[in-house]
Amino acid sequence: MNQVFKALSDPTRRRVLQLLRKGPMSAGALSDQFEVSKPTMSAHFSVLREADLIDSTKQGTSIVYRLKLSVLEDSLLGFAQLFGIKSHSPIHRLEGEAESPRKKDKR
Amino acid sequence: MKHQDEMKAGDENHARNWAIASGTLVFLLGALLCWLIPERSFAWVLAMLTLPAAWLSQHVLKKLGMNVARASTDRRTLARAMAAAGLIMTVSMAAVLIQKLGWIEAGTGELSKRAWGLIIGAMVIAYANVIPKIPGSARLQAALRFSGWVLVLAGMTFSAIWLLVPLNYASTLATWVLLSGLVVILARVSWCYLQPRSAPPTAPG
Repeated sequence: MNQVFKALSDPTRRRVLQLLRKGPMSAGALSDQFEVSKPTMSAHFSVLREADLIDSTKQGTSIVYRLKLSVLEDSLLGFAQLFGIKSHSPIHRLEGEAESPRKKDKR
Repeated sequence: MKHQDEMKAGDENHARNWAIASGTLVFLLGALLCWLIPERSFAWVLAMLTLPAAWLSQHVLKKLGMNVARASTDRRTLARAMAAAGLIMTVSMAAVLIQKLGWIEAGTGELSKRAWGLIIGAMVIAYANVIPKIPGSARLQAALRFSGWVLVLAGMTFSAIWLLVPLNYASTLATWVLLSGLVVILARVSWCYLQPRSAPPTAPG
């Protein structure tokens, strides 16, 4: 349960879960929705997989993710979205590092 | 990988500890009830022996070379099932004990009937909660998610009815709630599967 709370405490991971509500998506298609590097996204996916909130299958060269939320986890996700819970995990620092070069490029 | 194995072993130990704790509780309650209500000793002894017998039989079957709970996940599932069975017996035996000791004023068997209603409602909630985790196509998963939510809400209403509504109406009302939930699920799943399949998304360019 601790892993579930950890996974749901991050806005990026919550957004991933929201996107997967529409149906299964490939890792590439999911990563395209975020302005973070692929390794950071990969770390987010692995946190979600460890918490058993998503399921991955290999289709050819791409990995397809699908939602695997129980009713309780679904309602926890709703609460976390509603109250905008945020964590300061190491991935956030990684995210900051990954984002900064892009932001510099844009400038 | 090693971390995952350690986690699985930890989960298995955790589930086994719960199974042992609930089995012990059933045994103690059974012994106490045998002393307080000796005319129903057969039922209490049966309850006391159920979990040890289940535990023993899986060991005997394993010794006989049968493929029973060899994998860690299977052992964990078995231990969790035993813990759940122990919990159900503990709640219903505790209800009988409370009534016998006169801690709560209730009609004959009223408390144990209400306890049973609560247990069944809790079981519906527990099973419905994990329904959306069953893997399947996108269409099936949407149907399973809906079914899970409807059954959890139906289970909660079922428990609330058994807790609050007068006993004369509770059984009928609670059954109707569960049946209505099932009808809603059936209608939604049928509608979902009767819809024409949408075309798969095409690659850009």
